[in-house]
Amino acid sequence: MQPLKRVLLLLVLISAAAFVHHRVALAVPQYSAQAGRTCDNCHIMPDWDMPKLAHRKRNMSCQACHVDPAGGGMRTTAGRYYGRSTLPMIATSPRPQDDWDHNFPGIGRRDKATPYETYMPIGPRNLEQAAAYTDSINDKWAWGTHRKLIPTAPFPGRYFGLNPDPKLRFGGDFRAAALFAGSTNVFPMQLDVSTVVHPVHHVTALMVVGARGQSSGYSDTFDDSHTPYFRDLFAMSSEWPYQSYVKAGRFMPNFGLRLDDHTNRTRREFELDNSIPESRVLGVEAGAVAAFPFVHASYFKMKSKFEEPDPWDIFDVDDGWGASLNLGWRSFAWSFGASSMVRRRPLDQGGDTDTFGIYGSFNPWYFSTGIPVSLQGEIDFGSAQRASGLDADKIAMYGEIDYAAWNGVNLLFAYDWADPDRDVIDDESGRAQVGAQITVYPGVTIDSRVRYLHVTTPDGNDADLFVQLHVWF
Amino acid sequence: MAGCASGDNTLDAVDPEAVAANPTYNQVFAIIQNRCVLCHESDDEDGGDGDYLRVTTGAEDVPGLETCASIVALREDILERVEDNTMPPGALPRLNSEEKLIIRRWIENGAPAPCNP
Repeated sequence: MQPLKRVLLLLVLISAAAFVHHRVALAVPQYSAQAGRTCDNCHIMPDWDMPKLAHRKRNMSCQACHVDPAGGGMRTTAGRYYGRSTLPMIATSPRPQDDWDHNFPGIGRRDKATPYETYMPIGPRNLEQAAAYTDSINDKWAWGTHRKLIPTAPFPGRYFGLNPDPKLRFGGDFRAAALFAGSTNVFPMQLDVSTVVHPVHHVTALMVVGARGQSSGYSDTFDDSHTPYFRDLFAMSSEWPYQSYVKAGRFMPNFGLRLDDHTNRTRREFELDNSIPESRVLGVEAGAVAAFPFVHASYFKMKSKFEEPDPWDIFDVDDGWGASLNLGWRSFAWSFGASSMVRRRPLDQGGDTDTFGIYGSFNPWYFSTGIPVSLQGEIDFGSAQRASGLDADKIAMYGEIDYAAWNGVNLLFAYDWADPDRDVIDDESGRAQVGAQITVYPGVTIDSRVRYLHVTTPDGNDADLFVQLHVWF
Repeated sequence: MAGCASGDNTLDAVDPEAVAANPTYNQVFAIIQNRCVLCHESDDEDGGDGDYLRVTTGAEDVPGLETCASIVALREDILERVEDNTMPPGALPRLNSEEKLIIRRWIENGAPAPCNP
């Protein structure tokens, strides 16, 4: 697609989105949808008072649950609270608000003890009461409190025993996987330790040190000279009106739906594989997530496509530059977004790429508790220079439907497809996945998927079973 | 999705200069390392219990694909399996057109390698 056509299409889509009448609320994917439904998870004022427009979070912003506005990884206090009170089959924190009571048979929940007709039975109802809850905080992974309580920041008692707004916090994200594809291969996938420093309001620094797993074994994971490394390292000023922010440092460009499945072709075909250091860049990103439009823009420098950046020197990025723009409209019921990204490098460093994508989601759950379903999809177009200098045009697409069978049990069907070079015959392939994500206990998720890959050569069609144990806090 | 796909020719025909005319062993080794060695490696401290696949040719075990000798000895088998997409197995991503063409051209050029001068 020509650049001018891309811009025109983008403008048309944005204009259309701006004039579509909608109901309130936000978000997807499934966890965002559920978190959005549980109002107490995000509302910053007790009594459900409507915050001023500038401070509303009813937009399924990734920031509602994650420290990084781009989503993923280290969670905010609201995200931790959701993970303890709502997400799992067996919750450890009371949830004082009815959402959709569909507990797995035989599994008890703490929220059963709270009568729904008297919501918010715990915690302070205003800032004055909140001060008295400071001593009730019992948080193993967070330290420090801010002396001044302000309405736009989480305050004591609001999230049960969690430190609402700590100055220092640690987190972890550990994943191990088993792949059954003719033989069994068990391997570590991801070993991340995160540190968040939040000395004063509006200022945050995030450091994520990660070790990339190797499917050949545990020793290879640690023998690899490129692990561990700074997966993310940036300073950020945030919590401004309309959830606006600016961050600077090492991160991954903000483009499309940031999927947890890093093998998805809408990510891998465009150098956005979240699991590898090559996807990291050094740059500046600014954005805002209002109710309901959102925008994220970044400028970055990067390493050669063929080299991993230095694991610790985030300034090892002198081989090219790039920029990305990701914007759209996101409410509880539906969302629509458009992304574009350019990369400029010498040909022998990977060459230029241009990528444009649209994505969206629909959340029937918003309309009825009897339809705990959410859908999302993305389609991306792009071009990348081959070694000859000629462009290879690409297409990648992805769709997913999620069904929350019970609290803590999410069933899904996903499909992704890609044609990495539209001029070349028989290089396209598609992959279907049927699976279940079961969060048994806070911080423990088992993700199992049967995956089927179909290619253009019939003998190459094959399936496997992928099981992931995910421990996070 | 097939209707979305396009292209009538192989990469070799579409863009002969998309990969080097004479790929080096190091290029081939990098592909094998990324795509094959995760499973097809010799036993190491991790694989002593036989958890990992080993390359076999008929009845005779050979070292894993992290060795030059194995790559050279098994080159035709490797090419056949990656071109018909039977390897990597399961739903793991298959090799792309550039990777397949590099291996093919390296073999057609006599498979030059440190162990096969």
